[in-house]
Amino acid sequence: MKQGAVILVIDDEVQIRRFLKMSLNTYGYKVHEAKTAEEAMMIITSVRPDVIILDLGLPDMNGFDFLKKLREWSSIPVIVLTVKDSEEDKITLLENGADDYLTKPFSIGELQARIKVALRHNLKDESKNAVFKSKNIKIDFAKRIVYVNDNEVKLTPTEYSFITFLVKYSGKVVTQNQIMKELWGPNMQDETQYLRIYALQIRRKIEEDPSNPKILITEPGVGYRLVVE
Amino acid sequence: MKQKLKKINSINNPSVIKNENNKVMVTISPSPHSEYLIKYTEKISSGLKNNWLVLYVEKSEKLSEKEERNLTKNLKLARELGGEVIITAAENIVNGIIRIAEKNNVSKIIIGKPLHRSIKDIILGRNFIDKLLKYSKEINITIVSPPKVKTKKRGVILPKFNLKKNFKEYLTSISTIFIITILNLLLLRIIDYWSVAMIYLATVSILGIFLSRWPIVLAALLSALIWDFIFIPPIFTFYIGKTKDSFMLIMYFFVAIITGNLTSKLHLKEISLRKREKRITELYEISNIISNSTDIDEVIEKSIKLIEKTFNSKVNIILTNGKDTLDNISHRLSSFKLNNKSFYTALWSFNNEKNAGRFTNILDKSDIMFIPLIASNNVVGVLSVKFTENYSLDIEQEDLLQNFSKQIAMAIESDLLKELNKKAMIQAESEKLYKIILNSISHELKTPLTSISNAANGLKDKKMFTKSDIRNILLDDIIESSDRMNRIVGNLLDMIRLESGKLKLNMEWNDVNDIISTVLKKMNNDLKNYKFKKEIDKKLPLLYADFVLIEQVLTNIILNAIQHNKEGIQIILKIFKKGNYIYFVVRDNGIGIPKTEQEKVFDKFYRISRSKTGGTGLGLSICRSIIELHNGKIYAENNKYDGVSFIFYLPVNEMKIKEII
Repeated sequence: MKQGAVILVIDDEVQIRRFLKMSLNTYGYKVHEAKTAEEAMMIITSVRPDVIILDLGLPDMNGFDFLKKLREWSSIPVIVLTVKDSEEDKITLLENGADDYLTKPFSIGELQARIKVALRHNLKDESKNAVFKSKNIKIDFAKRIVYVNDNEVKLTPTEYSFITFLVKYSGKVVTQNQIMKELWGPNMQDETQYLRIYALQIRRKIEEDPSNPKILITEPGVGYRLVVE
Repeated sequence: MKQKLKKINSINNPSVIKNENNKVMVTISPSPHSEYLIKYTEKISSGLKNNWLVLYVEKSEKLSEKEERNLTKNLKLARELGGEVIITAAENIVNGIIRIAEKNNVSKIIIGKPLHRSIKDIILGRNFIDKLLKYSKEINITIVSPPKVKTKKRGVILPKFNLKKNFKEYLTSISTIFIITILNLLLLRIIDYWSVAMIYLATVSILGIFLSRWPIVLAALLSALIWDFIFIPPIFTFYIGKTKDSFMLIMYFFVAIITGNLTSKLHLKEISLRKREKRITELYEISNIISNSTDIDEVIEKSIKLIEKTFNSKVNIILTNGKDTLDNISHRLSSFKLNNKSFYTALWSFNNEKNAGRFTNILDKSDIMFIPLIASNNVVGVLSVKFTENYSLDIEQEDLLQNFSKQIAMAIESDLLKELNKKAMIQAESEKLYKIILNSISHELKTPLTSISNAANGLKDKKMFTKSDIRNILLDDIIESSDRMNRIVGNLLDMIRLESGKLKLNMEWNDVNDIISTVLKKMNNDLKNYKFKKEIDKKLPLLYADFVLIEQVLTNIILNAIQHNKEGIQIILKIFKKGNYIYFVVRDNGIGIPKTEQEKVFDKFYRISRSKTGGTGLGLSICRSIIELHNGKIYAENNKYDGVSFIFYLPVNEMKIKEII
């Protein structure tokens, strides 16, 4: 987690920009604002923010196209602001370059969490580490062992791949399609029931209360997220 | 329209009030005088708010072509002027007139002064008028003398002599008698001359079936003479030896004539009865079509077929479709299209509410007959009938066609009215809903908005801002109010989406626990003042449903429990599998719901009168729509001792597990 990280807020509504700037400043982040995609592009190239918060309803370009363009040359993490009931959009965004999303209206706490996650060093760094720790979970990549409360837990190969795939995203949401593709290749796209079964089994093994998961979280309609601290 | 005005005007006429059942009937014939009589009757009845009858009594004798034409013309005129035409058959005219008059409650009969009397009448000393007066009882008889009209003959009319037709009959008569005579001569060895008479008698009777009056008389006469000449001794003379034979001859003659006449009458009666029966069947057919059809198109289709079959023609129908004038396009079931000229004729017919075209007086050069479809008050269209070239429309057929068109018109009118009614009802319903929504939204959103406004203003106040407890309360108010507004807007949007059918189900296999934990996380704050417990079966199968929607349902139900019960109440969430369903039960130990309202709570915008806070009343109706989309069921029932349980169940689908590599 970095203090003094630079965040770019791209939103055409003045109130949201003001609110975000105020709250993020309070938490020690430096905030730049952009009203349009064009302005955003200029700031990104000149300032090089650490995280981008993007609203989809920009006047000069829609969010998808902006993301596509951005991803042609930059891997800066992007958090997209979405509205309720737009699961399809969220999935598409996540699979086309967005790192995470926030559903309006959101609390400062949620915003903070997302930014922290976005600022984590991304996948390359994480898997280089031999050990992953979060809450009461410990994963030893070298030995391929998972510990819960320092007790070894037996995971099947698929379950292990599931968890480690999510670890790579270090707290960011991963879509169902992405997980399934990783675990079973591109031909199983419609068989989401398997994911559910595996998630259930994993939860039974690693969660304190499987009916109230705190580590492996379902993002309804979108995918899963592994909570990291 | 015109008729309406007529009716209104006559109501205001004081003289009308006296006479209620004052029907007038005029009797007509092929005579040109009938035209005058018809017009006369129309004049006197339009002042009296009558519908007036025009009666033609058919006799067994056939009319000449000229007479047919005249008759047709007269009847048409009668119809055009608005009279109700009745055609009946009777041998005795007076009986026929009286019968119809009594049946239709006629109070006055108008007849024309007879210009001439037939020979028979003179011989038998009959006077038509006298007879009519004798049997008319309480009916008034008015005798009208038509103005001078050119007639060829005056005084006594001779019996009609249709040369061609009657010649054939006379010939048949004579030749049959001769053939029978030869037969009788051959039979003479076995039978005697009295039996021969019986054979002649039988012959004359049978001839009565085929021939008309005078040829029968000839047959009777001829057979009597031949019987006398050839068979009565002394044979081959006209002289009769025995007295009893003379007596026989005279009796024979009378019996022959009477029998012949009788069979003839009987036969004609049978023909006329059969004709009547045919008419009734045809009329019945169209009634049948109308009452058995499910929609107006079926009526039109079948009616067109019936008319085309009955009249050997092609039919076109143009309707108004509820507008003030004819549509530009013919009805799609029509068998032919109207060209411009025909269309304008049809339009004329429509506007003037009169028949036009072929077989009428107006624009009769056309090969199509145009009949306006007049229902009780309005003209709903025009029926155009294209007959074959040689077709001749007699009076009865025209009557039938007219009747058909009236019935069709009424069926169409009834259908139009039904449509209007439906539209009015839908309009009323949607206006009602619109009002409810407006009321709901404005009230429901105003309240939290006011809270937010007040709280924010309060926070601006320095004194209030510095006091942290006040500050926190105001801030909580703002958060709570905006949450509420969020929910209300969400509910409204959901309802709109559900109503419009635009909601797409995102069906997936779900872990029920996932759904529960999402719901509980969101509701953590709301539930903090309540005793919440969950009892979830450990071995639940995966649920095939739309995650977000089921989450919504649970949220709404739990919110409901919170909104209707005071703090501290226990709320239990139970989930278990039973049979082929997964049951979800949200149970509280609060006040409960009166039995009468247990179903109603699921109605849109319904709120129990005792509800603590507002809420649009949509929550539960949305739940029901969602559950039903999932092929499940949701209902409420009071618990045995306290509180209410909201229960819904969803089907367990079979999951196909493939072998995973």
